Amino acid sequence: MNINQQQYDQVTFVQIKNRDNIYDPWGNKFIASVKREHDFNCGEFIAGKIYTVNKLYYRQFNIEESELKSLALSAWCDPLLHQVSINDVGIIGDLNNNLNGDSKTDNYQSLIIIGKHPGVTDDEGKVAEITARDFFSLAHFQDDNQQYSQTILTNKFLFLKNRIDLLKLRQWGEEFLANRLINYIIVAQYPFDDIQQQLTKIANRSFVPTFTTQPTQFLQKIERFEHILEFTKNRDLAFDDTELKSILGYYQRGDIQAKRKKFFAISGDSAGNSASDSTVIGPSELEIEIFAQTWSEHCKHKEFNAIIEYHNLDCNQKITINSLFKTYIQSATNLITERLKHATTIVEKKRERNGSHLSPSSRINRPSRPSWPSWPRKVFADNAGLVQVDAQHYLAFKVETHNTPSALDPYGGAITGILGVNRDAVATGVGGGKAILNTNVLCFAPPNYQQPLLPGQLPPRRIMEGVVEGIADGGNKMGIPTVNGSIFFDDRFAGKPLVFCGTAAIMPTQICRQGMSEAIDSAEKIIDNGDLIVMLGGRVGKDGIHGATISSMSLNEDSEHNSSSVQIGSPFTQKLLFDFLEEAVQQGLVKACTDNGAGGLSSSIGELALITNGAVVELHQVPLKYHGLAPWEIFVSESQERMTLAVSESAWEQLKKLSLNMNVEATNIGRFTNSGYLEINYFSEKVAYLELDFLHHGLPQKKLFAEWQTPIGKNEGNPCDNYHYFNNIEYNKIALQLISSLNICSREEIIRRYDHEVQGRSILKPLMNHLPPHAPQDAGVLRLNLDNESYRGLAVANGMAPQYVDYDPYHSSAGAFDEVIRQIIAVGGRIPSDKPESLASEDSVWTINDNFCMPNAVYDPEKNPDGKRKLGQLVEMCRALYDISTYYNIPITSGKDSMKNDLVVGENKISIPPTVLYSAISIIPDVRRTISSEFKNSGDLIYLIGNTYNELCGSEFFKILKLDCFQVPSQVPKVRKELARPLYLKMMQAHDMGLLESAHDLSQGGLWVALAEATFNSNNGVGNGAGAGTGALGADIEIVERDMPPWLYLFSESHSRFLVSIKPQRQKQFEQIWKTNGSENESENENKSEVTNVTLLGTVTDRKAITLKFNKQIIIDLNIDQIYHEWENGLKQYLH
Amino acid sequence: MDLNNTSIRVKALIISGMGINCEQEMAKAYQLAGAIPTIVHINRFFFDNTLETVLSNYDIINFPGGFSYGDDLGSGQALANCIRYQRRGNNREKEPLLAEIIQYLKLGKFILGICNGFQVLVKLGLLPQLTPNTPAPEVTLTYNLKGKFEDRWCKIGINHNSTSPLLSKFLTQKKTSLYLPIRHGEGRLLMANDEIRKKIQSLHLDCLFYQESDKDKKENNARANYYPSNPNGSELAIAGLCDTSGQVLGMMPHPEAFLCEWNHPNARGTISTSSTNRTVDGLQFFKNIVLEITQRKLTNNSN
Repeated sequence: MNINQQQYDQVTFVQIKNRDNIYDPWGNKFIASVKREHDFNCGEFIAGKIYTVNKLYYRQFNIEESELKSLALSAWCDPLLHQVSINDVGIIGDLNNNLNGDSKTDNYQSLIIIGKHPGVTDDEGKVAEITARDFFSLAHFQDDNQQYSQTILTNKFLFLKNRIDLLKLRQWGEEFLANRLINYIIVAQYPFDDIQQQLTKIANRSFVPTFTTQPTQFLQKIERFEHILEFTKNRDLAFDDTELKSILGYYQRGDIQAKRKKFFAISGDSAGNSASDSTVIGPSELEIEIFAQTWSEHCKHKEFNAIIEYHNLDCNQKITINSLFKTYIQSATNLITERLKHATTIVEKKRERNGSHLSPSSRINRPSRPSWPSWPRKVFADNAGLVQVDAQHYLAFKVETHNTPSALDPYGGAITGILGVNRDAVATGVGGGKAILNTNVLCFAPPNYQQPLLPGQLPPRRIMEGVVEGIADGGNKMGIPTVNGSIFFDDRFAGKPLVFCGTAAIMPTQICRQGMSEAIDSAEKIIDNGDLIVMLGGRVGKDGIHGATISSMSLNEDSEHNSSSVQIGSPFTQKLLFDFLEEAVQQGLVKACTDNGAGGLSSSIGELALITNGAVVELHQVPLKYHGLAPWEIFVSESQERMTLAVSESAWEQLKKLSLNMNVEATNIGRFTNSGYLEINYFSEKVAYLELDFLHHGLPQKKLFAEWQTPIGKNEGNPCDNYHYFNNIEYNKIALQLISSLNICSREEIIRRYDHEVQGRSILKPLMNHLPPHAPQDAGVLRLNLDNESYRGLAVANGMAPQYVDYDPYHSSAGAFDEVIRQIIAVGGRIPSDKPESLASEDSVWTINDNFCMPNAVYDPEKNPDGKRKLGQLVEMCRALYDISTYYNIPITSGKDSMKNDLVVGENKISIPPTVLYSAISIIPDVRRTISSEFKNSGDLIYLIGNTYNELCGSEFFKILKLDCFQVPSQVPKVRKELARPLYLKMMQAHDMGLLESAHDLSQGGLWVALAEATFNSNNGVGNGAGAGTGALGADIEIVERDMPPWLYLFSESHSRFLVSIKPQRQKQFEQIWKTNGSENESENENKSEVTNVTLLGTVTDRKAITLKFNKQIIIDLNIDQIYHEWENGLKQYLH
Repeated sequence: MDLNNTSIRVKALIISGMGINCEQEMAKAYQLAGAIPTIVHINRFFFDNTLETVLSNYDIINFPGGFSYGDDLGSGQALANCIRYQRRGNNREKEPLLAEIIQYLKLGKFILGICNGFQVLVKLGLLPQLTPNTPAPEVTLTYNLKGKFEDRWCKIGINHNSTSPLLSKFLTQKKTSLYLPIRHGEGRLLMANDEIRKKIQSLHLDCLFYQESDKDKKENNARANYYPSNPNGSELAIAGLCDTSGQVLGMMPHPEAFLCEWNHPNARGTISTSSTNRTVDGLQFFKNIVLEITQRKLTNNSN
């Protein structure tokens, strides 16, 4: 038998096709998309799958093809839905009816098959294999399968009725069904003769067991800078000159060379055999790759740690900032932590004093002792920020972006984004927490984007659809509720979308470790010399190689060809991993864990090794998806769903056994040491030896330049002077345009694709009311546990305002921060006042993630002439973060930055607006007392709380009129924190007194939009379900306003405002709150010159309409059904 | 009767693992309903011989929601295969787990499958199982007609002709409908043929159905034929099925996600926060099951 014959003989094809009239969403979507986008009718279709089975593998268990047939018939198909046939790809056969071969095939003129490139993880194939193991009673997980990582591969196909040009069919396949980075496409016209041969060729590449090791390269010459420069350039690594010089300096150090000679000489291999005193041992390719990963922007945040020469041209002030991170973010959190600790000390002292000399009965009134610290437990030091949320639990919260991967492969980028951040939250501290919520914020170009697309740029609508699907699959299949999110549209996200994904996990504060009598604090990662390094989860392939370095580079048309930079996500694999980790930690088998994200093992082992100060890695132990990976590829691969654990030797056997029983692969790949070095072996070869201290602290600090000047426009002055723009406003029309605009309208079509109820904690959902009209909410609220004893919970909110950043970056950032606070205040959350009891209270615990996404902000006179200005915007945004955070004593506990969000193609560059997202979680002491945004009862009084200013710059209203504040004088909304804080404290008081029926914060679209959304209620206070129908309430509004025209009053986007409703009998009580001088005696000097306006606007009616009189004249009179229809369809029209 | 007597207390087995993800709230639901829940990873039935994996020690076996095996091969299919074919110790001499389940049902005990669990029971042929003790594919659950996963609260009607003991308490309580969330992408129930459809109808196995919830429409409470009241396009608007013995119940809606009244999307402003936590539809569902099984155990004991 020749080798080809043997290979051909290796494969069995199982075709599983849909029966007639079975609805297939995958095929339907393709047909509909081709019709919509290309006005072509593909005709009827038959969809199905082809399983390519490695027959040779099953033969070792004496399983023959006939048994594979019965496996397919009995286990792989659903007899009601599918027909099965064997080895007749391209023919519409049916094994069930013994009709092997069907004359009807010629009725279908075209065929398209989508499969996965060899080496790409094929989950369905893996599940088909598990089923085969069940069917033949083989153990699920055995070590017999080192040869092949997959024994079954899957393809999807569509037979299409009409004859389609093959080039077009392939192009449409790439457009709607496949991603060429991951998939291959086979297209054919009838007769489909050679299809099976084509698939056989592909299968042979996937199934042939090969075993080659690639010897590692060393750079032999390092005398000159150019030597190392050329080496890194050839590999597309993102070093700059200073970094390379620093690396070169390391290798030229005498002590390093001495150690290297000693280390590499032991092996006696080619690198060391001629090691005389004069020769040097230069970097190995693996070492250079490790530097590239460890020193990448993604891992070391080089721009946030740079020295920045900043020139503020507005006040002609020049300052030198030594690290934005340390100066504005870390120092703010440190200051807040000090204040919270100090307040706790005062409370403790007061308690001691009052308690010691009082009779027991009066001790009841002494200040209550905080049960646990109100300051964060761990910040900026682990995979996620850690705060304590109840007597027994920490909450780990992390938000990250996955922008570049989502631009290349929207579905894959988004799903790996959400799964990756899941791992961050779960791998904090010892690890093994339970992920209880996801949140996401997405920035896209509008789906109706009209600009011509650049090479390598995907259509915005396809990016949106793919990202949403990825977020949905990632969250839903992991069983983590997506409790809150938001979507923002702007043309400048056409180059790169922003995909912010966040996850919070709870874990017990104390865990027991096997063999130890006392529980230990789960926040700490404690690793000892000699502990084992264990890799957990998916196998390693070439996927995602250079992900960390790619995210440090601008996207260009070539990026797409670097196919290995795309990662494949598998929620199923990760769910098994999480179930296992939770169990293993509970059994006390794990000492520490961390996520294998960007940089793969290189990053995870590199970080954990710092704890013991050393590690030895045996790279050949790492389980691979397929052979032929070079050592450096194994170490930096970003294959997903993996974690690295530290396990004591005594716990290893038990951990390994548990992993086999839970279908998770756990492999010991080395040991932690205290040698000071990271040593890496590949079989008998020594492939890397790096000093950890230099690796982690040798990175030279960057020096950057920034400047900011407020653009000179007409933003000073009164827009009323330019009345001609507004003379003929038709308010009804503008009101409907606003409510249906992309940044304001309903996200229901997307929200419902995310499971927000799983785990049963859901209280305030993204949309309230089980029947339309559904009301959008400000913050998501969920319970921490499901017992009847406690109703403690969390509120989750996101704030972002890039629409203001070009006019005023400081207030773009401050406004985003204010938005999260006011959203959480609206539903009933708490901020601390300046009283020690409040600062020390466990009910005002907050945890916030910042996420800065920037265009390239490194100044270059030719390539990036406005770099200084962009970096100046970042400086201003960070200044605002410090100011607001420290003013409210609300700490940032973790965060991330993404620095090169540009698409560069030749002369064209699309850059995102500098964007900061604040994602907040805060405590809700009793979720039963939270308030939703929509009005509840006819007759209730409607109030506007907070001041409205001439702040239309960047507003949705200006956008609709196509105005900017260079044409019409108006300002960016400013945060007046001195006014806002007492207002928020009074809102808290109104909540505490139970006065509020509804509360909604004002943001884009201003008062009008908040008012319209608040009328979306279907149940009119009658009770669960009873008052069903479309629209039950409305509002009569009478505004008397002398100083402002109606368009300014209604559409201004001033911050720190709420629309609330109360029962009429509570009017006195409610108004009294705002008359008093604040609920807390504010010790600091609040700005007394301005007062907070609380304005009675009108009443809730049951007329199902909004009638709005402005100075006695009706300017808006709209039916709720009409308003809701516009709101509902704004985005829906672009989604299937 | 002494409900604290552990021999009387209902023991609920809750299957977990391999992508199932609603096991914890389901265990909480049984606990709040007075039963003793035990969560057992599906793989343990094949390698672990402890008492926790002996089916006859339980009164009700529960297959919770989730994405077992990532929904690959079709939702519920791979887990059904595991149960149908895999044997303890991977030992071909032993009976598959399904045979043990059929033996368990012969003891008069119960099985509940929710969402993905319902899909598993259907793919196993345990539902509707028109010929007793003969699991066969008679119906299936496939992609929603909208082609998408959907999270939505639905009005679920209870078929008062149903003879399933698991729903019997609702009949005596004269409860005709429940509000529960549905969260699935493959919940559309299709039947193999007309004969099966007729049998399901005549035997009243279609025990739960999506109910028209628009108060403006005359046919309020009728079987919902259209989206969104019928969220997936199920035949006969079926949301849940039971087998001919009434011991096996499967349903798409998630009662375990509605254990307190503040879970309901209409809850704000309609329920006073000071009210005592009345039993809501989801928890009532489990309380009824636990009460029914408890009474049966008491009757059996006194006999």
